[in-house]
Amino acid sequence: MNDTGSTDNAALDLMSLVDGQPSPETLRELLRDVIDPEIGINIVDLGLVYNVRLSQGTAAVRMTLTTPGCPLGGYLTDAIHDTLQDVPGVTGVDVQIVWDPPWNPDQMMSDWAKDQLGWNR
Amino acid sequence: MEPVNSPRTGLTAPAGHRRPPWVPPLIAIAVVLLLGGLWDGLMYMGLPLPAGSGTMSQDHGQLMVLGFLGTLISLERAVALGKTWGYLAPAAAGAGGLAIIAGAPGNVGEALICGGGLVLIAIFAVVYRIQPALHNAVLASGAVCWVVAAVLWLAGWDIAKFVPWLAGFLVLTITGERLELSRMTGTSRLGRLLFAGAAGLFGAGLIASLAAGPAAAVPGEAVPPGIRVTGAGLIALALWLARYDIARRTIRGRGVTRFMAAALLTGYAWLAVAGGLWAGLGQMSDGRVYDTELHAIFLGFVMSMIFAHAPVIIPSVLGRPMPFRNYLYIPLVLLHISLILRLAGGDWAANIDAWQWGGSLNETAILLYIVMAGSLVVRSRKAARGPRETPRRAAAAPPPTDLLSALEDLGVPTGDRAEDLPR
Repeated sequence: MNDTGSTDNAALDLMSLVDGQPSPETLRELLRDVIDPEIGINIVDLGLVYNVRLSQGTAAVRMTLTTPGCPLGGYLTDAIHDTLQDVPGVTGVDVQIVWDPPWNPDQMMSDWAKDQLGWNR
Repeated sequence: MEPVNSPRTGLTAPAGHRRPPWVPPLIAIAVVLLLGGLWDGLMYMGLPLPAGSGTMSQDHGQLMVLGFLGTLISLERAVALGKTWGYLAPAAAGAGGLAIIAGAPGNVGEALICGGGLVLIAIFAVVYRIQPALHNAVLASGAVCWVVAAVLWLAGWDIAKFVPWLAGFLVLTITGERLELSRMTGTSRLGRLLFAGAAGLFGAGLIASLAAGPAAAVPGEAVPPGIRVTGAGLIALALWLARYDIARRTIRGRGVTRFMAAALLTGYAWLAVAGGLWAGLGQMSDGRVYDTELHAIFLGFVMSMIFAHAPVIIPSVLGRPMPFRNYLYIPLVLLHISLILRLAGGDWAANIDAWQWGGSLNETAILLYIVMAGSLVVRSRKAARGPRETPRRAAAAPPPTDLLSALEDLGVPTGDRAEDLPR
């Protein structure tokens, strides 16, 4: 899995979260709460989250969708806002949807997600 | 590839404020068109109702497919693209539909609807430029079917002769989306080739259907092969969906995920039924056969897809949550049972009471679903702004971490969701 995939065992610094200084890994882990409702799989394991940063209180999420015509973009963007905006230390959320690099399910979906969706069966 | 970044949201802007202000009015127009189309449908079934404008009762199919669904589908695409000009598609389709209902002179309504289809093609051209892929070509082909149907309508063709193109718009739009989603199941190259073959067969049937000409069919005349080939394409597409669609996996999920899969799979069954009818019966003309051929696909297949996707599309387009509730199964079940009553008890057994009851209950199911969905959205707005309701983490993420409980113990918001959502 490349660097746009999920981090199944991300280090979780819970105390830094409580202290109001969540790490990008922790924010990324929280994004596992954002789920594609039709698929039933979270956006991190689907490989849609490319990068998460926290800069001066702003959680910047760089992500993609499976296709530019995907009608789910607004839904997921709202869900990301709802998930991150109340996290201690986060004063703003900035979601950027990009198409480069294009989403590649073979390389970007986690092994767990592939297993859930019946790959190799 | 040129970096394309859209849409970019404002910092923590309230969800509803990220949508253009004209989105709610466009949805309201779509609802008006739906109500007009349903009113037409009741008159078509012989219920004693005021007829409205002179042509309205003759335009049920066009109003439902190009007016209501054309507005809704193009609005969904315009929101996804995030370009202001894209909203010209639903605006034109919506205005055209209203013109039809109002009985506007000339062909203003038809021309506006045709224009909406052209803008939708332009939307897909932009999407294809960003992501050249078979599924986007299929989606664009659906928009082309919209325009062909509208042009034939403008040219004065009998509805029975261009109704396959109305079906083409919806079938290719829906199956194109399903093809796109099938990438998540690792669909092979062979799978994509099989889809291309099925869609190609369907498209070839559509083109061949033009040979029947513009006039209404005369009883006893030779049946052109177009409809039969189109039906074979529908069967092939239904078989492909049964084999490759992700709903086969997600039906084992819970909550909204399972609901969507149930609606999708039952819809695919109706698609196969419609394909069998089109392939076996061929001719499209007035009467019971015609009613069966059309409503198996437009109600059984298409409306099931609408029911399936509304819990996702409404929040995405409106920016307001629509929490899932299990009672949404009620209109879905009612739709299918009443459709069986209408087609088997009414059309096949020639029982007018069964036909009228079935048709009226079809409309009841649609209206019930809309009332339920609208109520859920309104109530979610009134509720204290809390986390968006989505399927809960435990069902949708790998199991090893107990992060949620740890964070909750520390008092950190975790996006805890409604209790009745999938876990």
